[in-house]
Amino acid sequence: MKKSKWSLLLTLVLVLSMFLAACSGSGDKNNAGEKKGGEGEASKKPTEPQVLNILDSEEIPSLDSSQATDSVSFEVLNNVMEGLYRLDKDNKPTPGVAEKHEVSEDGTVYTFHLNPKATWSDGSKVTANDFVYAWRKALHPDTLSEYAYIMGPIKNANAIQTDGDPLFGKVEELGVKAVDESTLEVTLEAPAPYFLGLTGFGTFYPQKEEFVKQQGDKYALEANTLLYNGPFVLNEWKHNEGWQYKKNDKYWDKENVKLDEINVKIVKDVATSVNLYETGQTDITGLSMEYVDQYKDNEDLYTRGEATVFFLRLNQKSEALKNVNIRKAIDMAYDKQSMVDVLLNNGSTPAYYLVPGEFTPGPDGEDFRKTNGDFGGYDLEKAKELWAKGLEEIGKDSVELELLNYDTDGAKQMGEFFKNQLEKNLPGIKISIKAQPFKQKLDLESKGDYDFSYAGWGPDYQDPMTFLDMFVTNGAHNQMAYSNPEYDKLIEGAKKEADEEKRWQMMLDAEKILFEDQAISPLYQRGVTGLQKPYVKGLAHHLFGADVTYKWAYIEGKQ
Amino acid sequence: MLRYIIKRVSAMLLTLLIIATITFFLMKLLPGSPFNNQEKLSESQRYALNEKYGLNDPVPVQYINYLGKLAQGDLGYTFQFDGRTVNSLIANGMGPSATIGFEALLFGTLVGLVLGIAAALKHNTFIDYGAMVMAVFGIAIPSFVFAGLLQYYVGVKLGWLPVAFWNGPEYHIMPAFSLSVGVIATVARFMRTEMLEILGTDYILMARSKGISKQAVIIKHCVRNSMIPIVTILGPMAIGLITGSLVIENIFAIPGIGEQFVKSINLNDYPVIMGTTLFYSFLIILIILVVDILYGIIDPRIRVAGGKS
Amino acid sequence: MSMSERKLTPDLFRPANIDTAKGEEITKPSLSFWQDAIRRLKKNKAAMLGLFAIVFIIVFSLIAPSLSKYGMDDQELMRANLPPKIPGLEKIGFLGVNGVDIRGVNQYEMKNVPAEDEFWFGTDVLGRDQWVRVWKGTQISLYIAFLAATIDLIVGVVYGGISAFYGGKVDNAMQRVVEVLYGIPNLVVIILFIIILDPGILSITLALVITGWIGMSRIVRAQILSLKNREFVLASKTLGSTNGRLISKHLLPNTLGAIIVTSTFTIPGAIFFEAFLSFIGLGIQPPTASLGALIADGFRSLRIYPHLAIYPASIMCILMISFNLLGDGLRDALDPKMRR
Repeated sequence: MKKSKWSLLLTLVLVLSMFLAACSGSGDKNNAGEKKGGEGEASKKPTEPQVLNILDSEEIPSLDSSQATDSVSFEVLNNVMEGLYRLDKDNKPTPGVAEKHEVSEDGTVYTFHLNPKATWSDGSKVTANDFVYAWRKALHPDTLSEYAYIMGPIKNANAIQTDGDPLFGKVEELGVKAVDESTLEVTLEAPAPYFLGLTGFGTFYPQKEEFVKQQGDKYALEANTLLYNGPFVLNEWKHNEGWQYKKNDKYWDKENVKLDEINVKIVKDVATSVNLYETGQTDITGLSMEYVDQYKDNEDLYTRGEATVFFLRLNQKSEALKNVNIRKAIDMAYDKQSMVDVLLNNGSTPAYYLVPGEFTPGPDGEDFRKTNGDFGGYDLEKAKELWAKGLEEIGKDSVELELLNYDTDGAKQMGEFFKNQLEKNLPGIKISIKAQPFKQKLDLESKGDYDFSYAGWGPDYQDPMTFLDMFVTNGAHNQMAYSNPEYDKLIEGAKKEADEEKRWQMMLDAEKILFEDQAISPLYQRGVTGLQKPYVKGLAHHLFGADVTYKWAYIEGKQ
Repeated sequence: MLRYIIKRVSAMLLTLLIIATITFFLMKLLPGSPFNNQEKLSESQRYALNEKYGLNDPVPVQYINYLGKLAQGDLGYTFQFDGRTVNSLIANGMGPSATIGFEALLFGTLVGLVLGIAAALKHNTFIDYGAMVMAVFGIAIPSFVFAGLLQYYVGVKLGWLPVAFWNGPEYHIMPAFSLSVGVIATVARFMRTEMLEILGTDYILMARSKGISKQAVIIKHCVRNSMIPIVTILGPMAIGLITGSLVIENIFAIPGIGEQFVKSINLNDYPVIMGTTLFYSFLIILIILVVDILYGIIDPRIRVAGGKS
Repeated sequence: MSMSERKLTPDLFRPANIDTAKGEEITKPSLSFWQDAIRRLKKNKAAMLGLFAIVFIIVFSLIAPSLSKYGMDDQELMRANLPPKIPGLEKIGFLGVNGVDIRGVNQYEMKNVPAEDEFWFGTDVLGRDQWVRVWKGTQISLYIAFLAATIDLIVGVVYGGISAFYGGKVDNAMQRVVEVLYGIPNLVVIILFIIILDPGILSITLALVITGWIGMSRIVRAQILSLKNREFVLASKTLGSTNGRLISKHLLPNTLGAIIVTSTFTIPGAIFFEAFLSFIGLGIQPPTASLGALIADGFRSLRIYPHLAIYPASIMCILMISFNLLGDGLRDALDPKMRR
């Protein structure tokens, strides 16, 4: 989902949305926080103003939850709205509007019981109908969300948004039903163990139909044309300048919300945000690679891993890249470790895989990454050997390839590095670099009009499937003519499989096949780095969906 | 005069129509789609979204629709921000950009004039060289370097002025100053050359020999006559300040229009690109028109020639 | 010595010898317009200094890269971000060329760089020799600038000339076209160019030219408009000169001064605009780099690795100042009004 902002993130790495939670040391989970809230409140409040000052790199593109598509919108929505569930610090679903839920035997029907205390900021109750309305709105052809595909697991959701399908536009056929005011029943196409986490995602938030209709075109355009049901409300929204959160007095769990005020200002230049951090006008700033060396010994410095993986797409429409030995040779011919250490320098780790590490624990509790291990690695001799073999197989002694690249500074540097490494290490290869603005790059990619490209993918939900189903034959995001019937079969099977362990094994096997074929050459799993004042505590960071939750954050020790 | 203005205004409208047409078809040449997360959209979803925004219609139909709306002053909706009109984006962003631009122009012109006059009066002295070295440095240092250094030393190290943001008058000083450096340099050099030329003319000598005081001659004759060419360069300079302020806006976190414009190009936000282009073009042509008319008023010799062209 | 003290007697005076032939004699050597202009330019120290600096930078940018054993794109991540080190000048602390970075660490020792490896301008993040990159970048900036100025010159002179010379309807139509081009912000045109063409030196130059020639055409037009109604042109016309003769013998030579001066200012303008494009990420494509691209890259790490921005910025500054000084000098030299 952060795709739409990569170009900016790569340059700026001004990911203010990313802070280090670890320094709080308490590691308090939800219930621990509750206890703390009870006793800590009275003593903390008077001495310390609970105000957080931060920066963001973008204006909020949309606050209509059914229309939002980008990380800034989702982050704001996550803090002023609430879905059935909400992600906690460990990315586990914790109750939001829903108090509890039941799942049917076959794992396809979810019944949610809503919390009677959950209200909108105008005092009215959040009802099951508010969910039904919002979800249907996201799929209706007139108001079709650019993020509608995220509803895919729900019954008929894909058919409703496919033009030409008999169900096209018939939102009443969507598998969601308000049994009564406080009971919501959701039917899925197939079992999806990750569905609960998904209900915390922006597109699944409720909307009060009466209010939305009353506001018409103006809904969610200003701070006062929107109803809130989250821990905070937007008090002020100055377009292109910044916005201000205030604690929501009508929130059902307001005892656990400690911050009174969060001021967000829009700053696009990293140097500027670092200067603002130094003069104390912001409590947190992201850093770009250049600044990391400068603040290396600063104790405010943090680095944190993300679940976004970058890789080289190897387009098999190219005659040379159709050859598996050539693909393997390319993967082995550049040094990922020093690339990450010197060029990125921001806590990113070299990737020898597709599904990121520390992201999805399996049914056995073991991380997907740990179970499957690494594939390939930097091995010059082997690379040269495979390269020679590959060239012989295609009957050529030199190959010219075009690298399709983003046009941001970081990416350009990366492109120079690939070009230099490959040309140095693989005799007879000639690389030309084509750097394009983000959208044009994607366009060329989707047309398959490139040889290999620098690309990335962030998860939409907490399951390896969000990465793996990218490469099925003729998949919309395959974009590199990769096809392996065995792989397709495993993915298709995993999507239908109700048995969690079998499903897991299928996904593990699928990733292995992908790397036997060396369909892609993975680069790195992204990390972020920045500076955070030591008195900011309790921020919750997420690996997918919204980047950060302020619900449990507080200020301690500023004075 | 009135006939001349009417003629010019109608020519201006025609020019705008041509520019609108050119930008519209240029937009159609841009590869890619305007949707924010196009990477994850499937073919049919993309089709449905195109349908929603009328992007599946044949191009001539889209063109007519666009012109129809344009005639009513409606520039359409942006793709970047849900539900917001291009008109409102321009209206929001124009204020700060125009303010900074105007302040820079005013400050730059005043300082430039003073430097230029001083340099000319003290021709070939230390003052002259000093002023010209300053002026040349003004055009030799890129504005992003200058603004960055200013922000760090004055804002962070000395703490005299706010580092960034757009709140009160003190927030205007650094950005306006960084932007005005180029103006100072250009105006100072122009003014110096013009002054030197006029100081050497016979009528100045005549005025002096008639016993008019040096001050009066300089103010009434030299400066006033040297100002005429300055008026001509102020027009293009004003345009440069409005469109060229994007780097300054970025560095000082000013919610202006320049940065918005560059971003819309990268994001294929067609309505914003077209809207802003037209708006800029409108400004440029308007400024040219105003300068021409002003010029005619100031200097009667030009009116004759101007009427012909 | 006062007048009254000395008596003036008639024998002090002698009649002058009037030789009518001598009246036509020219005592000063005859100087053509150009000889005179060059003479005046030579007297202008600042302009000569500028000219010298430009020539020096051009020549040096061609020679300098070969003084290093590294190429433009020789990367080695193990020696990334090394500060400058110039043998012989190491002892002089304030020059900052002793291989010690601003934190006081000798990076050459820390990164175990072999003693014979010395990077006069330091290295960049990919471990490339900045010395080679800066001078190559200078070459490229100058190349772009000269190419842009030349094309501007040709297109601008032809367009402005035709527009002014034929006047009337032709002029009117041609000026409307100029107005349209002038009215579209050049950033749009440039970005479209870069996206549609393959990005590279040529497309950037073309993008600079596509709107750049307008200034030149306006100046040429204004000059010719005022010249073509002057008496000497009228006289030549009355004597039966053809249009070709009028243009080549009377109009163009008299416009040449303005053209040369404009060109001298177009070159630094193009260098500057290319730097601006680099800063917003639309400039030259790596691994090639122009001065502007090097400054934009280096500026981000100015506080930690100042050497990356300072050297290219200084060279660009010197170039800009030199071109401006030369331009000013040329304007003074070529402007007949300045002739005294």
